[in-house]
Amino acid sequence: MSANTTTPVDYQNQTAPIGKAELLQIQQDISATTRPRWQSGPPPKFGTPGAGKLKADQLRSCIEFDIPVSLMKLWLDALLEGNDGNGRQRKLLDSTMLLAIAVRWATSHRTSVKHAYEYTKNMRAYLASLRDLFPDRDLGTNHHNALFIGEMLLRFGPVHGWWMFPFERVIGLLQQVNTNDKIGG
Amino acid sequence: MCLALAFAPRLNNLRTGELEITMLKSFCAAASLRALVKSDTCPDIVKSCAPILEECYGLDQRGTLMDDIRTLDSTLNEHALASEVPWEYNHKDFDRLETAVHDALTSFSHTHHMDGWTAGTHAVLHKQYKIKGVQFAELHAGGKNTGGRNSIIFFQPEPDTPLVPGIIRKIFSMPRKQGNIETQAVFLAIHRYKSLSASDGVVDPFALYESFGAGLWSDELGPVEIIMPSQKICHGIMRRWVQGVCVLRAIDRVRHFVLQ
Repeated sequence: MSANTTTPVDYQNQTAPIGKAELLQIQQDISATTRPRWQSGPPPKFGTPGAGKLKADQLRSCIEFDIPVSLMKLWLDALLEGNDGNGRQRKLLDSTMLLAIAVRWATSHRTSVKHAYEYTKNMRAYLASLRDLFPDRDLGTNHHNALFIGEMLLRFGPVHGWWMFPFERVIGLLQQVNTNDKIGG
Repeated sequence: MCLALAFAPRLNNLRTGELEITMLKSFCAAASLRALVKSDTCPDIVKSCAPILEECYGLDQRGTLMDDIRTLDSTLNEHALASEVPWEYNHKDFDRLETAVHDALTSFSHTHHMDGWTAGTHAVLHKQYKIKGVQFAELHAGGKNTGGRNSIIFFQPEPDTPLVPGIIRKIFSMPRKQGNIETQAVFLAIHRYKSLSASDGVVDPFALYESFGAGLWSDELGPVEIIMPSQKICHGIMRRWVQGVCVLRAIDRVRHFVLQ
């Protein structure tokens, strides 16, 4: 009985460190954030089915500011008091920060050997942290691809010249076109 | 890759990839070409195409497809070009500057070697103004600038110094003599967010993650300062941390670093 009830709880603690209360706090943080008009922030109901599927712009905003800052605020007291779930919260926070920093280096409008180096260093550390935090999960294809971006920054220049954002934008435009299911007619 | 997923279930007359190729040619190529013609290494013959490109892709608005296309040349100093042409103005459009702003402007003109230019008491006030393709607005511009969304900025006070946060109080233009012509000199009257002091008793946890770019600042504002569009300026994002303290982060397009 005890074994049956204990195992799921441990699993829950390992894979879902953010509960309803934390999610509510993150949603309130998002609403209280002042950002430029051109930036697409996360939806107010972030993390719930009502928020729908996030767009690429929104995902970028999430990782560049909203999620790391919210996690820092949520867990800061526990981290300072050493009451952070055997260091797991610290690892999750570090992992999130590593991703945010890697994205920041990768999306600069100028690039250099330093940019490529810093991006690759932080991305490698982020992937290592994922393996440490979720040892039962495999890394995906995108994780593998991400390791080549540093080299591509040096070969092709800033990521804005060859990334998929324009494509995503055009997809959004095309999806709004009424075709009566007669593509190409 | 993303397009392939998006169009996979649709009819395509067995000609997969044509849409992707069209977009690649139309959009990514335009973005890269614009960056090429602005670079120092670009051949003159290609540079001569710049006016044609400007005509085709001249508009810029953040969050649009055109912004995606123009993204790599948006860091160039477009404002410098605008400030080299004569400015046609009408004195009827001039309004009196607030005393605090005028005093700050006078102080600014003394410390920034402006070739004998003296600060007038009247100027053309701009509720919003576009600098290098990015829209900035004064704090109380009203309209769509809810909560000063386009007024929170990071700027570089002096060359080779870190960006610091501030909020725009006024944006205004004045004529300035440059040789034989009068050009438009644009100024931003801003207030800096004050740094936290030891007496605030708040430790900045983001100091551990310097490359993340965020930091804690007091929500108290300093006195009026004047900055110009030729300085590095970008938007900022802000969230209240605790009473009297906020977390601010620059949304800078270029990730700068200091060579060790």
